[in-house]
Amino acid sequence: LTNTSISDAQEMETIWTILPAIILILIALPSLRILYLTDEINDPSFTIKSIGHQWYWTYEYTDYGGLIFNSYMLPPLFLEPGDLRLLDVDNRVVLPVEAPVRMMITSQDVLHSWTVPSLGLKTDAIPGRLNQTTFTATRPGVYYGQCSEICGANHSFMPIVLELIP
Amino acid sequence: MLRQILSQAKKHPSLIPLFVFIGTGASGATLYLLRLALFNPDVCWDRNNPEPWNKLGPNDQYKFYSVNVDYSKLKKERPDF
Repeated sequence: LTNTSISDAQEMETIWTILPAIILILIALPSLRILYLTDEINDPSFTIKSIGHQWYWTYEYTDYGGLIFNSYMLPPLFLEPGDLRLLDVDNRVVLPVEAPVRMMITSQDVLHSWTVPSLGLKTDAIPGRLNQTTFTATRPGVYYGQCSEICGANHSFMPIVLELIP
Repeated sequence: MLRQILSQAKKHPSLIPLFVFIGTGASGATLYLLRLALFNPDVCWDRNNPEPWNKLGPNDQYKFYSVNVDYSKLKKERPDF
């Protein structure tokens, strides 16, 4: 009563093996192409370095002159009405819209992760390594993110704020 | 061994496409893994040369497939040191 020797409708079996396989290959190849396209260098207008520390970020704009500043979370006592607790910082990263930007991200001490979810960005900041991410923001506004790799006592208190100006 | 495989394949011909696709997928995955292990600049096998990633060339392509960018034709924008 076992089915080890039952063999029926072999043509159908062949067709419904080959046809889904071909369909899946036709889905996979353009998908892989798109995946590699997201990695392309899009000829950025400028480059910003983002260095993670415990527990703040340092941003360096060194393409045209040297602007280097730290970005600390605003402590609750310093918040104005309307500010976002745990999200607002003292110095925001100011960028123009419609300009391809290259972010070079690293860390000075432990692992951090530079994230801006509304722009689809998350890149780990690894000490001793330089990671790169590129993006082009199309809408002006303020974009928030939080450090996404556990880095110690104040890991939840080192947010990232991007201010995109038209 | 090969003859045994061929005779069994003739007995169940509808299974041949199955083995072809599964075999292609498995060998593709293995080969890509080997490519990553041997050619990825992040990987280091030689204890005597611990940082091969510091010797990357600016015109080499390390990606598996590059859609628009031709790495051998990139022009050099940075100064010589």
